[in-house]
Formats: sequence, structure tokens, C-alpha cells
Amino acid sequence: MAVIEAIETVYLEADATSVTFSSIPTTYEHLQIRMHLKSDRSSSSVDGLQIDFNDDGHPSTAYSYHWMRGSSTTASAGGLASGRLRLQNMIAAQGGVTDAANFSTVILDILDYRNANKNTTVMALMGSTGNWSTVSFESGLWDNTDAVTKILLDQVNGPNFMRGSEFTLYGLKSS
Amino acid sequence: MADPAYIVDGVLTDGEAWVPIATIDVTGTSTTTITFTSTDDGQVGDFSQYMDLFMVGYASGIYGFDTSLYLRYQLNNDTGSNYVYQDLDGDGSNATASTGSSNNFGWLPTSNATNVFAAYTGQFFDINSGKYKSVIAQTAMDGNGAGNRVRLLASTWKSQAPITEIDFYEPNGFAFVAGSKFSLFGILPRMVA
Repeated sequence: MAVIEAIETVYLEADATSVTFSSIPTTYEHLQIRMHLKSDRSSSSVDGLQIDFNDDGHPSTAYSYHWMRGSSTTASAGGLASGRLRLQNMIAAQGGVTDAANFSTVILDILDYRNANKNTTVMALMGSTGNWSTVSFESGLWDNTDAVTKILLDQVNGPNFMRGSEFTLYGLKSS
Repeated sequence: MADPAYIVDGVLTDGEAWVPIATIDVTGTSTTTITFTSTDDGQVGDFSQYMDLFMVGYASGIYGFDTSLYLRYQLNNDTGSNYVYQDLDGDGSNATASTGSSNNFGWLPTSNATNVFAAYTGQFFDINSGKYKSVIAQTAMDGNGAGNRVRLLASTWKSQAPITEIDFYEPNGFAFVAGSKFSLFGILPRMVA
């Protein structure tokens, strides 16, 4: 029996406003989403990666998030409560200022996702270089005890993930 | 030639997504470079089948002075100025950040502190794409009072070529201490619709 299985891979062959993983199996202990992605935001070289669980996001007050990061020569930390879970470090095209081949990375862990008695806390490692140069360790909370059955990813500004962005959802078994 | 594990009776399947490719155990005192090379044969060592690569390391450098050296990485034997990085460091007292144009990866403890090794992870993303290759690395090094370092690092190799070789080395040419260990895993995408 496999310990880590690839549940679904989405590889964008055209720009897309969002990526959704739905009908998530209940046969795993934990989930991990590995991403190599970029926003098409034109006015900046950085965008936020938004996450909604179970369509709770339009609007919701159930999310909060915080981070520590190194950005150029500044080490800092911060956090916010919001209607959306917003990770803070996704590279954006900035109207072509960012190299076309330059994408950023995210490893997002969603632990004990099918437990219906605990809020959901996520953990992310993110990295970008270029005009927006930042490495970060981030956390987010969905203040809801429902089991996670659907994950929607989009951008704070966007409006799209760019062609070539890649997202793979993995399931981790414990026994 | 045997089929990869995800080919069962000629049928593509989705089995174990993380595949152990190779482990290198350092012996002796002369190993200055750790090299993982794609076997290009359709077997587990063939990088062309993977979405990402994941390295786990535990290492120290042979040097009888100071508390830390450097660990760098190199892809496809590219020695050019095609690497950029962003790091976030903690030394037990302060957090600092820096960015620059080199193939920095992490800190490497020295044999000046006997039996002290540092722990590493390194993740290489979408390694067969036509995009630049992105890396996230973590270093945890505790010199038991001196030479404490933790690091998060993001790096980009500004090449659109597939990754076929990964090297790790100390830039001043110091060898790895016997007992240093590096393991490489391949991470498969979902293959069956």
C-alpha cells in the first residue's frame, strides 16, 4: 500500500481564474499541495495566494493567517484576520517585468483534514526570486471544524494563474 | 529491462508517489562533491519521469577551524552566473535576510565540532518543464553553543532545461566528513485520470 499518493495534478495549459480540488477522498490522514505557479497581476510583482475550504469564502470571517519571511535584506513577521486565507508570497507577472519563465513555489500541508472536531490549520513554505524576492514560512487557520472536502485556490488580485502553473494534491497515509 | 513500479502488467497505475532514487553515504576523507545523475533509462533513477525532486541530507565538512562552512548546489554542471537566491537566517539571537546571485544552499558545520552534522531538505520543482527551476531549502545546524544556524532559502536556476544532474559541494573545496549522508527522492504527479 502506498504511503503517499498523487490524488490529482492540474497543469494549466491556459490562464485560469482558479483551481479547485473537489471530491477529496477520505482515505488519507493528511494532504499536501505542491505548487509551481504565477499570478498575472499586472500592477505588481507579487500577489497573494487565496485558499477557501468547502466554499466558505464569499464572504467569511473564518480565516486568519500569519507569516515570517525574508524579503531582500529584511526579516519580518506579520499576520491578519480576513475573510479569506491569504498566503503572502506568490510571484506575479507585473506586465512582463517578471521573466516569463520565472515561477514561485508553494508547499502547503493540510493536516488531519477529515477530522470533524478540529479547526483546520495549514502550514506553507513559499519561495520567490526576481523583482519580488522572498522566502517565507506561513500559517493559516480556518476557524471551522468541518472536514475539508473541497479546496479552492485563487489570487488576491490576479485575476488569473498563468499558463504553466502546476498544482498537485497528495494524500498521506499513516497506516 | 524491468518496468517502473507504476507500470503493472503493461498498465499505467498510480502507486507510491515518492520514489527513493539513491542514497550517498560518505566514507573516507576525500569526497568533495555529492552527485546525483539521471540514469535516463526509464527506471527509478531516470529524472525525466518526476514532477519534483526532494533531497534529504545530513552533513559536515572537514575543517579544523571556525564553526561553519557553506553548502552550495549546482544543476547540470552549470558553473555560470545563472543562480539567484533569497534566504532567511536565524543564528540563535537574530533573524536576518539576504539576497544575491549565487548558488547558495545552506550552512555546513565543520569537523572542529566533533560529530556535529547539519540537517537539510531541498525541494526542486517541476524539473522537466520549460520554466526556470525553483528550489526551496532548509538548513538546521546546532553547534552545541557555537555555530547555531537555521535557514530558509529560495533559489532559482535561470535555465529552462530539464534537470539531469544535481551536485552539492563546499565552495572552498573542503571534503565532507565520513558519515555525511544525502538521499534523493523523486515525486511523481498524478498519472491516471
